[in-house]
Amino acid sequence: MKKKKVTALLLSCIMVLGMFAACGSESTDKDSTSTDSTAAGSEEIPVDSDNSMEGNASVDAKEVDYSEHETFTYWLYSTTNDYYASYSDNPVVQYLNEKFNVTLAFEQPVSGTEQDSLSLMFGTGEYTDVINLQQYTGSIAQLYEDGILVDIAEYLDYMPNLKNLIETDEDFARSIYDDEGRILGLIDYGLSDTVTWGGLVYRRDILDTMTGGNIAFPSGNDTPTTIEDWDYMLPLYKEYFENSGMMEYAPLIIPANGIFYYGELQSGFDCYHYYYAEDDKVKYGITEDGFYNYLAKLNEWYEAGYIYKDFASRTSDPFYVPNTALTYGGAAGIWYGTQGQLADQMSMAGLEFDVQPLSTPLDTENGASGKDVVFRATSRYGFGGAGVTTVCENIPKLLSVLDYLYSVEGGRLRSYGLTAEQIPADYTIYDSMGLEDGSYWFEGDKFMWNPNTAPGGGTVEQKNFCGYRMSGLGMNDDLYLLKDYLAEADEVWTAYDSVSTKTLLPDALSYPANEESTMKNNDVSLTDYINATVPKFIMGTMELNESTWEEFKGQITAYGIEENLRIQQEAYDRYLSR
Amino acid sequence: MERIEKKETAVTAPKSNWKWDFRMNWSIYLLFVPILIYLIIFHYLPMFGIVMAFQDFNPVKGFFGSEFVGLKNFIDFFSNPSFLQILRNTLVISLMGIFLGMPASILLALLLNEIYLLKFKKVVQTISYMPYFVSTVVIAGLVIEFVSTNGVITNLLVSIFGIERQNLLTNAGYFWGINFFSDLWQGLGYGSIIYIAAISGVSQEQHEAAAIDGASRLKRVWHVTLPAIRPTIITMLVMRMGMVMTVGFDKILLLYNPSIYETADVVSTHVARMGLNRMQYSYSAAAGLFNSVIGTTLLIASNMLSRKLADTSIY
Amino acid sequence: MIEKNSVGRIAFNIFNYGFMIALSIVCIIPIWHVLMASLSDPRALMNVSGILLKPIGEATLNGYRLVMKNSSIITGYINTIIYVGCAAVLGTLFTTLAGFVLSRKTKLQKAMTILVLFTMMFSGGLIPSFMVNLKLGIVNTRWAIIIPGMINAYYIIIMKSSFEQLPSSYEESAKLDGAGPLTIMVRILMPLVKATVAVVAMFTIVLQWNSWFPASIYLQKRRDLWPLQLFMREILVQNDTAQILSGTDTPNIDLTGNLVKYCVTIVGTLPILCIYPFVQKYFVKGVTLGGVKG
Repeated sequence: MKKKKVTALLLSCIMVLGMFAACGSESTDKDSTSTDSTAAGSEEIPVDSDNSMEGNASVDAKEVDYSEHETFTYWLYSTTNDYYASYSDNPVVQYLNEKFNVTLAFEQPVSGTEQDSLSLMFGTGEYTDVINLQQYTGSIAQLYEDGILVDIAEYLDYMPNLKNLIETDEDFARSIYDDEGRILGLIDYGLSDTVTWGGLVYRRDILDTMTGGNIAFPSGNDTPTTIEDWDYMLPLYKEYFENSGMMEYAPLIIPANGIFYYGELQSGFDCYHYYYAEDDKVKYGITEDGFYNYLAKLNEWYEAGYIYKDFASRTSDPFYVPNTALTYGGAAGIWYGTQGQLADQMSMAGLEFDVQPLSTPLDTENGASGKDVVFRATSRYGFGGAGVTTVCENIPKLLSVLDYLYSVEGGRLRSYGLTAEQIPADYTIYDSMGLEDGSYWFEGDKFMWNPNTAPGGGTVEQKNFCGYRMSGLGMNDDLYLLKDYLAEADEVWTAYDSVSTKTLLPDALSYPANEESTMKNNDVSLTDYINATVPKFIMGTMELNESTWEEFKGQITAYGIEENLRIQQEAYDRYLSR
Repeated sequence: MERIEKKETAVTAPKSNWKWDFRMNWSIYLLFVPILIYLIIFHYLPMFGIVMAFQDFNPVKGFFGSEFVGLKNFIDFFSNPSFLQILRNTLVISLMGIFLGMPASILLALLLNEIYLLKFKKVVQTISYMPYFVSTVVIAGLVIEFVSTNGVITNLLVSIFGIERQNLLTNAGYFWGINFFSDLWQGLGYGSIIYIAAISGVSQEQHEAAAIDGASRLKRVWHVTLPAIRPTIITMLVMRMGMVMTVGFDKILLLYNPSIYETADVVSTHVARMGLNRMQYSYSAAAGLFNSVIGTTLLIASNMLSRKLADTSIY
Repeated sequence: MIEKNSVGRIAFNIFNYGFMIALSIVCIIPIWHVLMASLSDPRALMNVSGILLKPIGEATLNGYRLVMKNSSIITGYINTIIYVGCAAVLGTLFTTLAGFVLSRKTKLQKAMTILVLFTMMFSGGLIPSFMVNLKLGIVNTRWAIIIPGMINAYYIIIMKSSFEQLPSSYEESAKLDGAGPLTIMVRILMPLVKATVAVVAMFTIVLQWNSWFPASIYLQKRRDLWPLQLFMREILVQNDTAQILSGTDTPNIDLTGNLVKYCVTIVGTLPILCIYPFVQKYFVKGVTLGGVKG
């Protein structure tokens, strides 16, 4: 704590000095990119002053001179909100600007035109200093080979915080380096798995109503855990909706292609969808026998009227916001919901809800035991990250600024926003959000959100007052779980994490360019075919039996799945040996 | 300036004498020059980008550095298993729009012409083209609702025609109809504007002359109005034939879903999907060039046909 | 006009008027639905499916308040008016001019027409166009929107066709009087094609009003020059899925988001709907022809 107080004191001194100096210079225009050399930072700030990670205070960081104001451009996807138009006005960015005497100028394309914006940038040779690579669908390695991206590994000495993380965490090292030992994108580092924000939910109040409070799941548990439990629940929902005279209702809503995005429900049948890894082997879930059982069961439910009849046409609904008319209108029994829908948050006058989380039900009839449930491998490390380009004129300085976000202080900035002391002098946007006292503070040792923030019970969404759009350290998110039912939900949704032997493929796999294009081309045909055929099986348009199943598998092979598996396996092997 | 004697030849077909032509028409050519400059700078100059279709385009290497691969992109495009399907779908959907949609707009224009209550006519006209301005997203959302298992349109069709009750957007056979009628809903009124304008240019005298000759209302429409707007109709027809490959895929993208790809997938949506996974510059350039070539062929063909049959043509 | 009031005539009238009424109802449904939705209570709006005949829940102007407090809407309106105005004036001017030129029977007529048509059929794509504009120095200025939007081959052909339909007697008599081509066009022919010019002007205005894509590409750095539709689009299309899947965002179903989308649609659409009545007066039936007989 003392160290923090000292740091805070140091920072406030610097800011006060800076303010005095700024009085002399006239331009306070945020948009001006002219180089006003204010006095803030006339002393050289040693880079590791804020490094409070244990035991590594003596990293030999190279010194960087912050006395000259510089501007760095940063390409980021659109982040529209009600408080500021451009991310350059984000509080954390403003804070960094002041602290390091730089200006981070963000260029953001209109939502939906990211690809065009990127291709134009590369095509005309006018790219920014930093590019957020998450939206880039091409090959990042290719960007390096074409001379656009810089290999950050060569500059690691300017980034002591990042270097520390790499040396202490092997998985992180594997994720951030590519197969050739280069660092092409600065990815996020999560101190812990992020809290799951969504999963299957069900309306418990309806079950209470229908059974008079005596819910008796066949499995004997208090919450539904097996497919049989679902067989018990779904008719109850159907009856309830029919009795209430609702025209449109859905005991179970599934996504448009019949497959839940993160593998809920189907992994209860001993299979996953798409590529996954088990025992260091890459496998494909759709052609496994468990998937046949899954389709058969869903077909049974569809014929019985338990599945939303129109699910196949709802392609514009994101998988986490299925038909709101049904969910919010009280006409849905089970769906993929979010934290914000749990308990009674969806209730309104005349409609009292009790929404509870569901774990993936296991097909115990066919011997599923949970070891095959692949829940959302909560990514501790992001993918893509931020790449630095060759047009940057002062790479060491830029990197040291970005490195700050990998320190604990920086992580706090990213995840929680600014404290009262950190708010820059003439920054009024925090006030307009009602956060003059900072977005968080510590009462003694206890972390407290400002009550006006959404995690603290208010309205200001986190994405507006903190800086996690930039890559860096992601702080421990247990601090979010201030409401009990959120913690419970997290437990339920991750119930099988400890048991499961399957994992998703890591995001950080890289492939040689021509293999990547072959794989992606095959994937397009495969995805199209699977998305078209699975709903047909479920709806009964195409009959599901041994021969059609063989045909289905045969077609998938014809579209090149063997080749893709080989490519993925090789990439995975390379990843493991990094 | 021009001597009076030349007036005889001025109004007949120009003599095949270049010098004479330039003397007569220099001011016209002069008027065209700014337009020519504009076209060259903004349309012809960028056309060098078409080489992308023959390269393995890499934005960094640019047009001069990217590898030349000849017809490889086209072969990729043609050898895609669903190529014939998407081609068929594109043509069917576009041609339906032209040969069913255009007559509908013309008919509307003609019917509106028969309304004599001026206020009523103006109000109906304005309302009829309102759907054009409602964003496609909203219209698509409404359509998806209406054809759902218990939707308004489904109910109507079940009760009138006794079809099986289902979500109409999961049955591939209904898509062309659904798409056509939603296009009609949006575009009928707006499309009729050009014909209303054309009809308003038909001379009153001709109508009166025909009426004096005892022609009924219907006969007058057939023999006076329609022939008078025939050039407009032909022009629109030929132009739309040229755009057959490219129109309307915004709505299709919003309406379709994988289970009806076999009738709903068109060239533009297919290319859009291919581009989601990776930057597909060359592939989409090749598909675009293919579209252009087909469209141009159809344009030329329909132009020649219209010249033979109707004596009107665009060029 | 001689009218025969036969039974057939009356029956036809009944059918016609009835049909028009039915058509109006069907066409007004989407607008009415959007209008009603924009006045509804946001939470209740999420429950509903199907057409709204009146605002659901408590009618409220909250959505509009949220939209209007965003000052970029005003900027958007101003910019759009500028772009639409320029397009209307310059675009119609050049289109009419080009249509006139292409309608004259000159030796180069066919060549010029094909030149224009070709640009409609073939295009180099986004990157080359961007590079040309970049070299011209108009990227991130208003001109990037105004200039490329001025000339539209489709409308040129429409104008050409319209000029060609005029009887050549006018031209002849004017030439007799010694008029040059420009005079002919302006003083003689233009009044005759007023209806088509009005239509082309309206098409141009509507096209420019609805256009957002060029602005999103060419005005990336200048939000202060964005047209209304681009701001609208930003609000309507929140592409959050990508961010959620990468774990950098947590979706919170925004209750007012839906409502705001409807309000934004109304705000961006209503003005253009009012334009037609002004154009309609050019469609007066039976343009009086004077000056030439036979």
